[in-house]
Amino acid sequence: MVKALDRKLVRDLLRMRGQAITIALVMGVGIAQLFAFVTMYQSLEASRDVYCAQSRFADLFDHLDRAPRAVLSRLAEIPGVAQVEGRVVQDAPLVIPGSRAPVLGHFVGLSDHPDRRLNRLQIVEGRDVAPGHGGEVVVSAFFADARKLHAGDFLTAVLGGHLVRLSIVGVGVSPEFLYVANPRTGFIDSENYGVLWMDGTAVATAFGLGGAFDDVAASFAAAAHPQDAVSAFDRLLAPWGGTGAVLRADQPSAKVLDLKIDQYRKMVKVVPAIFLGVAAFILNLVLSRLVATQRDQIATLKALGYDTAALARHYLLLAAAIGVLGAALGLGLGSVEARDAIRILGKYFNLPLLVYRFNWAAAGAGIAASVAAGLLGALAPVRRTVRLPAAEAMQPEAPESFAPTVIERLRIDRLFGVAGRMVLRDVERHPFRLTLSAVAVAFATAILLVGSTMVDSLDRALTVQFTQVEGEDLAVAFDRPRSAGALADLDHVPGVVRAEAQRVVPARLRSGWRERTLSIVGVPRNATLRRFRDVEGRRLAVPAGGLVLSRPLGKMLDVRPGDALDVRVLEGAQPRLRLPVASFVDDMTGLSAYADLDDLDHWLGGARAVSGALLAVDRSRFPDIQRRLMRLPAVAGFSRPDLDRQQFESQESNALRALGVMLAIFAAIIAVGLVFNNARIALAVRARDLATLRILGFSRGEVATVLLGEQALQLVLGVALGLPLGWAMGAAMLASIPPDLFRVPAWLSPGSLIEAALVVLLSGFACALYVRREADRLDLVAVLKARD
Amino acid sequence: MADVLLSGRPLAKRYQMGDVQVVALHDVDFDLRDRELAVLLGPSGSGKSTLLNLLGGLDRPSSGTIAYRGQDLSRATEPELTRYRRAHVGFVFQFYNLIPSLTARENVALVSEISERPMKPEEALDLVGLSERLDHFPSQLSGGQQQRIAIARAIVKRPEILLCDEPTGALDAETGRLVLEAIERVHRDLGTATAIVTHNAPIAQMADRTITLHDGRIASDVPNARRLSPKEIRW
Repeated sequence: MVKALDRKLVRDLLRMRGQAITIALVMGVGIAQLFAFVTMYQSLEASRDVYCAQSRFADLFDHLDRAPRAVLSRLAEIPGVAQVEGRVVQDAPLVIPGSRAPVLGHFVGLSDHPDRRLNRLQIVEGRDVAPGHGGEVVVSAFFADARKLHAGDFLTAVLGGHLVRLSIVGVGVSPEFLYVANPRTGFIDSENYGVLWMDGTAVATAFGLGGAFDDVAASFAAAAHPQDAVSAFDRLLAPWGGTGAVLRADQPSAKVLDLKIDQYRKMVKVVPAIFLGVAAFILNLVLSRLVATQRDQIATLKALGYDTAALARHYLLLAAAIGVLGAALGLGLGSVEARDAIRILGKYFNLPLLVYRFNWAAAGAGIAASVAAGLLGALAPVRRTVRLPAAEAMQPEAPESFAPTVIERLRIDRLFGVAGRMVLRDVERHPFRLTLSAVAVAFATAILLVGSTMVDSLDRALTVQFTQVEGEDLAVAFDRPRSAGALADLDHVPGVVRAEAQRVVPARLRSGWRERTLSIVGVPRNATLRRFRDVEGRRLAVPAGGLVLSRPLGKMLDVRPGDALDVRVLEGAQPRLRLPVASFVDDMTGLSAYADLDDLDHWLGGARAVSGALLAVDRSRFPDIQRRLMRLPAVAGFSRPDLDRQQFESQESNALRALGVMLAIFAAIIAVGLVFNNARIALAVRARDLATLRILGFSRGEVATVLLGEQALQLVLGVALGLPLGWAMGAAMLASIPPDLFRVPAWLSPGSLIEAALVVLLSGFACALYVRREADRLDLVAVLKARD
Repeated sequence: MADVLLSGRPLAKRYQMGDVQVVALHDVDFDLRDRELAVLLGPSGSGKSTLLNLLGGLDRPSSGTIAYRGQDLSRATEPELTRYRRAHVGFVFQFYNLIPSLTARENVALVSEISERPMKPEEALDLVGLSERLDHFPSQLSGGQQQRIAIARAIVKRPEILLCDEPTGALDAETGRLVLEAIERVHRDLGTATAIVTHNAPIAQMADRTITLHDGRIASDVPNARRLSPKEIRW
């Protein structure tokens, strides 16, 4: 049987439904993020783990110049190694009619035994390559989607300088290529960089590596010591140009997926806490007011024999009910958000199987967090009032005392009219309320700006990179380090105005036990096309005689300018050098090392060698130039920076725009929740004062100023606090991205600042207008007759 | 002579209002006997409501003792006072103090649900003549009807003591008489010891005894030779 007190609870809740819903919405958004992020990272983790186990994802990867296949048996004998697979993996241009940008194919040779393959290729359309059939390929699913390719289509590639027609027999995915970045740009470029699996022998022959391998994957036995295996691989493959073995965790595809999972794990700790904290605060304000207006009811219930515990339970249940409503909203929204996000992430990472489970633990945590936030908000006001002795509770609340304060003593109040003075005096007597409300608005503004910071920072980085740094029209990569003569060949291609050497040397840098494998970039003294810059846009100065390191790299290796590094070059003769650190630079491109190009040539034996070239060309002759470049045997591939940027922006900008809209909605929810409740409370508390003012002759507008003046102050202060807070939070989020992926300096445009301020201010304003309507409709006589 | 149900000796109550100490009661000796109907008369600020609050266990005296059937209430803890009110005392207030979000029946059920041997809410409402308003909310009822619901709520637990603080203070004369009739009927039918606080002197004519307070002291304590029914009282 439902008790009378519980019926009161339900009816009280219904009567304050507007406030309850706005508070529940704020809680709901927080719970949705909690549930969605937990579900997303756990589902991604589970999907990855299941898929990688099923597809026999290798534990170790290494790339080398070339080694005879006989070396594989020596690798297989390394303790802890269960299986070794040698293959040829090379990039080569693809000829796609009508393509504006150069298209590169990443060719991967397949072993003849599909069942025993590591990094098993899963066919999603068509069939696998038949052993011995050199003209057949399976293309990666993301490339097939972008280029609308299907089994049965044909493709032309430039393999070893020859045009080769390939038959697409299937579309597939592999754990090795869940995330594939175009090596030229570092970003996903599904249209212009695809993976093609081909018969192993055919690939080897096409690239002049018959009977050899230049890439190896290995799996470990259960008792393996991974670091020992890495050292053994490095030792055995060093004579063959091995670039250094990497374990699965450092494999690019696996690493990016780990980063995404880690990002969600971190966001679980921060974002929901902000929303739940704001909701608890608003609930505290609302319940304080409710309990104050029900003071006489509380006194009556005490007089009737209800004890403190029963009364406390009654009001705490009301708060808990709002918490449960928030949890219900949040779980509903969160499960939809999680499901959609997992589907999008599945496509982004090309995961062929997605494990999605309704995460009961996350749901339980969400409900508990929401109810806890509600109870936390209710605790203080309920405790204060239900502990009042019954006789005292029967008396009306003591009216506030209004003695002169700072504002009056400094005569600042004289600057304002009566309405303004009423607002200021109320604010001065409740500084805590103003401060906390402004902080809540600040968080709303900050949440919005986190997204804007990401967008603006990325945009600025791209602008700097593609307009100030990359001045070339085309960037050409050679198949291997070539002599200066290769540069001259490019210079002679009709339409090429200028060709500058590009030298990138793979190397392992070591300081003590710390080491890092990366590429040393040679910077020509008189470079005009590639103008290396730091994050502030300043031209990078590379002094002679030493290395310039990205600052995070310097920290990782624990070196300072003046210290020396052991450098092992991972190409050619693989010389070992000891080079000084000249200085640090704050650049944007991950972990990099730079050296004067002349110095680099000198360290590596004296003769100028080039790994590629940067070309300034007559743009009207792009198609012809591209055709000629593709026919040069030394050219492994090339890219156009202008098209790279367009591609990146079209892929990433939609996602970022959607994120921006979502964050704007969240910010508006907090602003609305706060202003609506504060304004409703103010109306309830001051109804008698406002009615009196109306009767005395104040206009509706003047009365609205008294009612909403404090809310306006909260909004303005909150936005002012929120702008720097949002910038700081966005910068912190960017700084949390591992520097070896990329570094983007934080940047916020004035437009974004104005937009964020407007979203929050307008949301609050709209809400205030709604409450003002109620104030305009006050029944003056009824209000004045009512008992306090 | 009937047994003394409630006894106060010598009761004093002081309040601190900012820098000023207000003495609401000065050494008051008071008894309420079983089945007695007493009226506490006095002007505003005389201490009559303060005395009622002490008798009802809503407050504790600053000095002196209150005993209910010999049990000392003046040193009782808050839970003990709550149990005392729950089990033995019914209250009627000047402004009814009904819960606005509950119907008439539910307001009465608030008390019957926490009482040991209550009557049914419908019975209590019938006793005050409101059987046809069971499911009305307070806002749908007149002042007199609301006050009668408050009376029904006070007596549904069959209390030994009924304390009424200015029960007709917010009502017109005619409605006030109706309310007093309800109180008298309840007092008669249930045998409840009843104390009515009022500033309206004619109401004292319905009492067994009239205690007059002035400036926090008992000015007089006079038995009535003849009790009038509320119908006969004019003010």
